[in-house]
Amino acid sequence: MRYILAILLVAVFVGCTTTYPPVTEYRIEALPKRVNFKQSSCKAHSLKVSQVFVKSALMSKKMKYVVNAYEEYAYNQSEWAEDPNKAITDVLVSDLEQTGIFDTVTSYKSFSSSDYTLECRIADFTQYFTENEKHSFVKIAMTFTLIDNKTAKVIATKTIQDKMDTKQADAKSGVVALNRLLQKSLVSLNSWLAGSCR
Amino acid sequence: MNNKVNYTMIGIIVLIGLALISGFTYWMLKPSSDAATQKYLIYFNESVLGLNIDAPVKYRGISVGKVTRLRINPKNTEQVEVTVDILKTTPIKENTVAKLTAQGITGLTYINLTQGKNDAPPLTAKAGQKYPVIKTVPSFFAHFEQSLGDVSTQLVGTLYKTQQLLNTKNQKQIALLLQRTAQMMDKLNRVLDNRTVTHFHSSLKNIDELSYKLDTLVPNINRLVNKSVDWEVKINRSFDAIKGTYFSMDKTMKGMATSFSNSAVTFEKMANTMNNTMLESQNVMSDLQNTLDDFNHNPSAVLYKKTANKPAPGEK
Repeated sequence: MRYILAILLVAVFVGCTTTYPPVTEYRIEALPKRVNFKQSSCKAHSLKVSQVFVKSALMSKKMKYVVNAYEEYAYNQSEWAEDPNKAITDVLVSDLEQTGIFDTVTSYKSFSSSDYTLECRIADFTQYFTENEKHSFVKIAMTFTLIDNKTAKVIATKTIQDKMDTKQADAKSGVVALNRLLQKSLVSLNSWLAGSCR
Repeated sequence: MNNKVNYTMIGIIVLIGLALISGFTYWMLKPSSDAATQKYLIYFNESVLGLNIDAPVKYRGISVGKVTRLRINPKNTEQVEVTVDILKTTPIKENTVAKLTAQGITGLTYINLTQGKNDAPPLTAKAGQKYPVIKTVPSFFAHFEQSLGDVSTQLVGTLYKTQQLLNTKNQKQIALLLQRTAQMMDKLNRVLDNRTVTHFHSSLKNIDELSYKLDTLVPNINRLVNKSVDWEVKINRSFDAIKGTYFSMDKTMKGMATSFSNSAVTFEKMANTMNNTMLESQNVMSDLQNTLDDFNHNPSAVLYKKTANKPAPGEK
């Protein structure tokens, strides 16, 4: 009897199981575009990059999109490979290490002290669809703040806003467009940082 | 009477006598080597009244020569040129000076020579001088006469100034001053009556008593100073002890500062770790919230949801 009940339970579970299509995970990666800043006012200083401040939608692997400006949904078959806030923080650290604007660049996890701290707040990092969902574009809005650790005062701020149409109205094209916009924003960030130290 | 005279003997004796007289005269008048003299010139700017030819020249009171000529200096009529013969043995030097000196009450005058420093060079005739020239100093009378003239001039000046001082106006002022002085003395006399004098005496007595008390007080002050010195020594020792304590405290404080600094570093590391942990917790909470949202939307998906695996490239 016991065996019969177990077999019936398994049959119910198997019979009711709904199979979903496979999920594609996308990475946030700024395409490499090396620019070495030989003349920088920050050459003799160190920088620590804090974790970016984001809204809760960007603290999840779920890839959200917006339709008609106000309706927000999540892709069923597409996800971020890593939470966007963590991924963008890593991208910032890697980019600043490669440009050589600062003597040393460390992540927020490091115990070392530094001369400056770079804070970043991401207000928007989303793909937008038209009402009929046949066209889409991506929008990015980031605010950077450079803080002098000796005085704990803000010495410079920079806001970057941009948007770009996607090739197709799907998740993959949205990810490609978002990565390009991120790369473009990093170029502006580097130029601003190179002249911001005192 | 047999008058036999030996005229030959007489003639011989007379000749011998003449020879002796001639020899004595020659001996007397013969110039001696010690008496060898040197001529000198002396120019006096004063009257040489009482100085005659053959007047003596003395060197510190010793007669060493005589005056041989007196005349007005042909080149300067205000001077009298006196030529003297002085024994060569006399130490006439560059700094030797001649001075006219009166000889008692006779009115006669002689020349007195005085020497300065002993190491001065001997006096010699300069170029254009026939004989060496001895310098002169004014005689006592000349000096006296000059001083008298100065005194007379100053006396005349003083008299003139006195006359100016004692003019009519000043005489009135002096009279007024004397009158006021008399008034003041009169007032002073009235002030210094018996009562005031008594008070003055009393004050002097008080001062005397004060001095006595001060004399008594001085030993006490000395004792106080001695005790103060002892106290100062003790205070110095106390300060040394405090200084030592201070240094110990400074050392301790430095040690504490180092400990605090190390603690601060440790605390900073701990805060960093906690911050990272909190950030991770925030992310976990966010994921949990998303999972709960999914559960709310589709509770059966927890049991029945199954995601098909996408074959990797090269897989079926």
